[in-house]
Amino acid sequence: MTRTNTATTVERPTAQGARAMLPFLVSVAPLGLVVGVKAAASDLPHGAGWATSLTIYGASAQLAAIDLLDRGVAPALVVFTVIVVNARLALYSAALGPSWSTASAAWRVLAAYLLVDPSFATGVDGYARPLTTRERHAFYLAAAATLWVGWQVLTIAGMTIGTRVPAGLDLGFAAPLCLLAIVAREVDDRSRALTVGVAAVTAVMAHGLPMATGVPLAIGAGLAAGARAGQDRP
Amino acid sequence: MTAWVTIVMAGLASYALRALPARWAGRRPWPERWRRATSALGPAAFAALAAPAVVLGSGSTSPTVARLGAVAVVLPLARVTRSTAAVLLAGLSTLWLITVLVGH
Repeated sequence: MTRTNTATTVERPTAQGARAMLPFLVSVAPLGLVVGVKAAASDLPHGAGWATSLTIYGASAQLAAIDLLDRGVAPALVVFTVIVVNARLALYSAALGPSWSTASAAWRVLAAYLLVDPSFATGVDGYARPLTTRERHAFYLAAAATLWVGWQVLTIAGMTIGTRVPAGLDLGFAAPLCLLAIVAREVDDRSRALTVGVAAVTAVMAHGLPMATGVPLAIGAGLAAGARAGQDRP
Repeated sequence: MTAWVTIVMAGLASYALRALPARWAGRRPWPERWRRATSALGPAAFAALAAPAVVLGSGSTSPTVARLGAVAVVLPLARVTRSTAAVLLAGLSTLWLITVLVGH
């Protein structure tokens, strides 16, 4: 195989992957800005808010971490909440595992780091395309890297906006609005509605508890209620 | 300092969630019961995080009626459109409009 040949077969899927990510990048743009605005509005050390985009890398988990850190919650509880909110990534990882098994160890380290909802969605699409195994890996990595770069830019842009907009506009309230929009889309049956309802009511009632223990408590209560309702179904 | 350490720890935990199942799960798909249970985690967590901000106004400068009004607009709208930008714009506009109207 000649050098040019390899270059052209690897180039094309890379461009395909980056292009496949663009609509997702547009759709998560407001969330990225909200994370930045929220970080700027918090008392977190300079740059620590952005660091969540590098380490946690997931809008909802970042919002949760920034919110809890700002309230002075115990580190262990912050980490626990991030694990709960990011737990769905384990499912994505398990789903893509078989496709990744043919790649090198170093490639898999990078691929896993970049895994989040949009990269999973484009990845599933990419691994179903009529490409060679190598091209599919290139497709995934290009798509996921495009999202990552876009996310870093959005977070920093949001922090810049956040420090310039008057506090009276209450831009930080965009965070709960975003989370509730996701919840509204995810409620598709009675069991899920009960999960969400019980979690919300418990969180409000348990809000005064020390170290924000109300959050994991509310999640547990919601899941228990939803599981019970799920068993009632025929 | 503590915040930095916490963020790094949360990042390592997130990385473990992303990397380990791909290695361990191998070629077997996850059982349906597990899939269902973990898919409920997200909505439960989001509702638990958002509810106190809406009802009690923790970390918010807007009056209760404006916060509730914004949520009343966002919830049905989110089910109609997939656009987060549209939902946010409508929600924040409602928040500001009611805040101005009640003269807060």
